[in-house]
Amino acid sequence: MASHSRESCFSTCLSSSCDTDDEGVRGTCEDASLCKRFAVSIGYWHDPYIEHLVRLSKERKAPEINRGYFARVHGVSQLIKAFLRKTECHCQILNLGAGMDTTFWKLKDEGLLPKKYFEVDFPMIVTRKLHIIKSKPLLFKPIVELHSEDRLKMDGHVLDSKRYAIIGADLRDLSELEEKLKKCNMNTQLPTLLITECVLVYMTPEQSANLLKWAASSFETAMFINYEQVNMDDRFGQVMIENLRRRQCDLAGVEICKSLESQKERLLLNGWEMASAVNMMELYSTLPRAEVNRIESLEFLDELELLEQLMQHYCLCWATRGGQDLGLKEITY
Amino acid sequence: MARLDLDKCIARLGTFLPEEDLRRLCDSDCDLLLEDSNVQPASTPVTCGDIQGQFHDLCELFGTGGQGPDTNYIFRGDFPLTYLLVLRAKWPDRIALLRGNHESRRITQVYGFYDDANAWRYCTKVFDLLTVAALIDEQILCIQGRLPPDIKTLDQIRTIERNREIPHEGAFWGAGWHFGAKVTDEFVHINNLKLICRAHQLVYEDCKMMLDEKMVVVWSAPNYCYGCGNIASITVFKDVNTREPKLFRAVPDSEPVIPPRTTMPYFL
Repeated sequence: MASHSRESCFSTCLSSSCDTDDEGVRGTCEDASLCKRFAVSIGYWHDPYIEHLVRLSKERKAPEINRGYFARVHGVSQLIKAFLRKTECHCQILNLGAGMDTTFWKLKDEGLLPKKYFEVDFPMIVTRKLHIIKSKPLLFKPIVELHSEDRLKMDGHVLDSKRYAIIGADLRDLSELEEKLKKCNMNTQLPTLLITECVLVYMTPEQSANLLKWAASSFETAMFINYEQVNMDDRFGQVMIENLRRRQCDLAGVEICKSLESQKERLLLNGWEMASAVNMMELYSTLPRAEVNRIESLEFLDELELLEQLMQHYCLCWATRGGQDLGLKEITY
Repeated sequence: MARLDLDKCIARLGTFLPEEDLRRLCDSDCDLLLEDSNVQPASTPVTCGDIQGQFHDLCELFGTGGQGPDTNYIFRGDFPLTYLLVLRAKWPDRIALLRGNHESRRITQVYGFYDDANAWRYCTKVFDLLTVAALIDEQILCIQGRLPPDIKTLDQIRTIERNREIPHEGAFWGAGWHFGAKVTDEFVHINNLKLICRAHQLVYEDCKMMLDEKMVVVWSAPNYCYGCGNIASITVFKDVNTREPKLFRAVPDSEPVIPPRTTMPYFL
């Protein structure tokens, strides 16, 4: 899964000792993107932008994978929209480890853009995304339209504009992260939503705790959305860890993924006031019937147990701090 | 035309059979399968297993159970196709193949079983003819999946027209039906059976007795999709009253190439 991370970067990439170790993690961007693109191509959800960022996989993805990504994208999107509504878009969004995510463009289409939308990922991935954005008017135009000055700030792995910024940085290096965000006019006074979708599990518990603490201390009013593994203590979990390790992808933070309780706890211990967590099977089972009927008729799934088992090992968590008058605590998927 | 050399086919297994050989293999199997009843009789001693498309694990299974032709085998569906087609052609009275849910046309369309349209057509011809159940010594029924509610007797199973695509509803099975104690009890009682032996359920225990000893769930595909890490078992029936589960583990990945289609079925 790490095949596309060997980019020929013209800029000097971070030459940290972890660079080759991170290849497996960078490879997960490819995998997730391909799966999302594939699901979109079958009709699971609407996304006119992803095809410009991600190629279509020749290999069919299994129905349970498509359904699982649907639930993931749906759940995260619901939480994002709830936050935008509560803050009336007078807010910021930081998508950390965003990969080839297309939320910015979709929100613009829906008239739901925050004051500014930031994406952060490894420099190699950002460079690739930037290259694609620059070459596709469909992606580039919306950014330019919203920009007020003549020239966008753009170099190898940063693009900064009035409403959108994309930054190449290592999420484990918080001083670098903060510095780069500030250079792109991140406003700590605005209610801010941070999103990590399969990101924290790839760093150590200490590193993710620091990131959560940094976020909690940087913004007085904030929300954090985290999607990743849970219930990993069982055989399924052990096999997943082993399988991914063989693909050079180390789930360094899997210890936190023991249970919904441990997931909530780590949020509360690191500066967040209120935390919720739900396993994806439960989320799936509470999706609106009409939506479920629609997606379940797209592909026949014979092994329902496989879907259940898979989904029970992933969770959607969210935490808030401040924002009492905004009613952030009431947000749910 | 020269006879299809089955031994040569066996030697080639693990790599793709050339299309012409596959066609002839499917034809020989079709001829044989036409003779099979929906409820194929079998006699002890016999080994039951089911395998979900993993060739290497199948080899391991044979290692555990003892390679044919000295042993009898009943395989419930979802198998690595070419290997078992060859075995069935070579030792038709030693190997019974029961239809699983992965063979139906719809499912193979979904899972992209074969890239080549011809190969897919030959295989679906075989699939349509695969029998549904096996009956060991008239007392143990082997079937994959669940008993549909409208089937109450073995004769009803026998009269199903199996030579067509498996429907979603109706006979054979449906996702979401569960075996209830009452249904099993009734079926076992009405048909003078001792046991129903079924698969089609992911279990982490190797062989799960449930429903008051009238049903055993046998799961033989370890590491389903290389993601679940099951220990699998087959069940050896020495006679109607004596069964012995034999365990085997997933073949470690250091072995030959995992086919590219089986990528990590996780969310990353």
